[in-house]
Amino acid sequence: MTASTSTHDSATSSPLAKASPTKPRVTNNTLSKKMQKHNASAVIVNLLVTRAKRKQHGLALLGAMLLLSVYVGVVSGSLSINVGELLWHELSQLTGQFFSQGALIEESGANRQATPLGVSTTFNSTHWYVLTELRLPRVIMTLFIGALLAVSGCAMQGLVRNPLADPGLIGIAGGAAAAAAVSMAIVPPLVPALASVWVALWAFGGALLSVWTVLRFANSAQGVSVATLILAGVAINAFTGTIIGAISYVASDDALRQITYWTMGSLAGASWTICALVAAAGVIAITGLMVSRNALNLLALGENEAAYMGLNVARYKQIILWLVAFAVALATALCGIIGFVGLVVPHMCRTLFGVNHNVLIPACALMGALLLTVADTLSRTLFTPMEIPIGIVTSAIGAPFFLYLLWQQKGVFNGSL
Amino acid sequence: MARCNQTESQTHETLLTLINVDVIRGKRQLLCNLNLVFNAGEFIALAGENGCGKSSLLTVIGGLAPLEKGALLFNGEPLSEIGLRNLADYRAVMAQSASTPFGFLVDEILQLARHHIVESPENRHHIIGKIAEQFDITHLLSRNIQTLSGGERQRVFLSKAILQLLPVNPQSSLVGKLLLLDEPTSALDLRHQKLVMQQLVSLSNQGLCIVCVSHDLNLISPYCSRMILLAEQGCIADDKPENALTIDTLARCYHTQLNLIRNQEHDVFVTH
Repeated sequence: MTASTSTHDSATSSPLAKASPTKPRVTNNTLSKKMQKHNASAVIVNLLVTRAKRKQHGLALLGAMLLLSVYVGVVSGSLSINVGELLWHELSQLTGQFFSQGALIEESGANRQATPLGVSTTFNSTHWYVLTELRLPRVIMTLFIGALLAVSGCAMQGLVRNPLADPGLIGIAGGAAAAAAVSMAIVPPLVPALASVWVALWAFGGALLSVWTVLRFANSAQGVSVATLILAGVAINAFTGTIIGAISYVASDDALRQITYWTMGSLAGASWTICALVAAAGVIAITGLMVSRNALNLLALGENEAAYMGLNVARYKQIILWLVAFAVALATALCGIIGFVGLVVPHMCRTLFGVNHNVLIPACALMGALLLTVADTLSRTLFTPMEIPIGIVTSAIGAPFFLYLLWQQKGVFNGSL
Repeated sequence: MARCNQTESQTHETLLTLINVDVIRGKRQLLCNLNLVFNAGEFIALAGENGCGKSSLLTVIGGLAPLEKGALLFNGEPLSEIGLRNLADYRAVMAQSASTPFGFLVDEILQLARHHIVESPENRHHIIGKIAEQFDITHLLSRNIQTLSGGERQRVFLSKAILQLLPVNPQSSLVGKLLLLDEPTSALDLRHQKLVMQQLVSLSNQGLCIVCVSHDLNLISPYCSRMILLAEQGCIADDKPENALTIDTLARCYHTQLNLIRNQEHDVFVTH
């Protein structure tokens, strides 16, 4: 009853549900029974309609904020770009012959007025290059990496039923970092053609190798054991930490510097090729996890429960784990370790959108993309021309925020874990 | 009392047959050479002392634990050959102390129970609303499952298990379906204990076979049609509750001296 009155703004709210609080007792037994029946369905319909509306609005708002952050990310930086003017300029150059001469003159006149030095036509090409070859691929890659990391974190937390899990849990970050350190300090590029992607290849291999090792330990006849998964992940992370430590100890100053930078993460290496790779991985991971959203919901209730409700638990666990492993391994290989997005974003989205993966996964994708775009823009613009490693920015924002969440949910975590 | 008269008239359709089944947990043999037959429309109480294998037996019947020895036939087919997805249409389980670390809303959990059923949203909402009303959880539908009390949560998960089995058409019978409950009333107050028992009897009258593990013999014995006592690695009594509960069987089952009181309707109550 309380629910139906609180959601009376919804269009489908039945008149009976509204009338009942004012008429507390109906003497006719059959009538009151009929009313109750109407009420129960009406309550659910009301709940669903208002909730769905609220969530749609929330997602739309997130989308709008993401577009805004992309715009800000594109225009700001050590060289600020007026995208509108540039686009207009390019457009008018491309379709110059179709425009009337007057419009072009007017346009260039306006440019001259805005920039008294009158260099608008010459520096436009530099700006165009910065925009299309540096900024755009970087912002788009950032967006996909944020979405991919957040969605993967969300899936991992649902899968192991532990709100403190993130993709690093199964050894992805550790394995990637250790392999990258080996490639930087010990094994120089053996194939000259692969020199530019040498470290990324090693990191990708290392990440997958450590995931495979963790899963070897966790796999048993009954399927993947989540407890073993977590413990094996901790052990592998400790082991890779040792490798990195040992290599750092013997490495030259140059290699050491490289290793340190790599583990702090960087989105600076963006190009359209890398962007396409990341986008493909992101699309595959997000689509795959979106398809298994129902499985994630069932798994959140418990593995036995999910099996009783008809889910092929073993198969879905493998699918989800490998989707996450491949996507995050690729992202880590290309951009280094970007912490906290996979851990914090799902939590933010759960408090805002609820825990149902139908909405949670798209919300995580949008929120992750938004946060990483903002963090990257900050890292580029706070101390220009110096660039702060992205991993530092995300941890600097993420760690205090996570502590705040823990503070807020003190009671909840006591009860459930 | 709510004795199920219809059950007698309903065909004694065999639903589940256990032939020489062993129940093993880890390395401990809990039950051995168990032979049982569960029929449609029966409401069966399963009792026994702590750790005697009641819950393990439920996991075996539920199809999650592999069978070490013997045979298990569900609707005439070996249980292991029915896929989990198919089995979900015919068998639902309410586990002991079911919970989730995530703050699902109650109605989301109830909707999840019908994820495998193709039906119109109106029909789904109607069925969920009906069950919510029957188990007195309508006022909890928009609540976070983690903020509910133990008894409220128990009613939600019981409703969830039942919703998994209910057919799209409310008129079709529940014959051929099996509901396994592991202590569904352990946290309920008296009013809701009675409510749940009455609803279970009415479901079994529609043909549903219910197997309910319970320690509250006095609560369940007036309602159930059959009582099975597990002890000494097997089944020591399998009969109507008034016949199954004797001072002798209770002593063998619980290893202590208990007394019985009979009322005019021949219901049996256990006392210390």
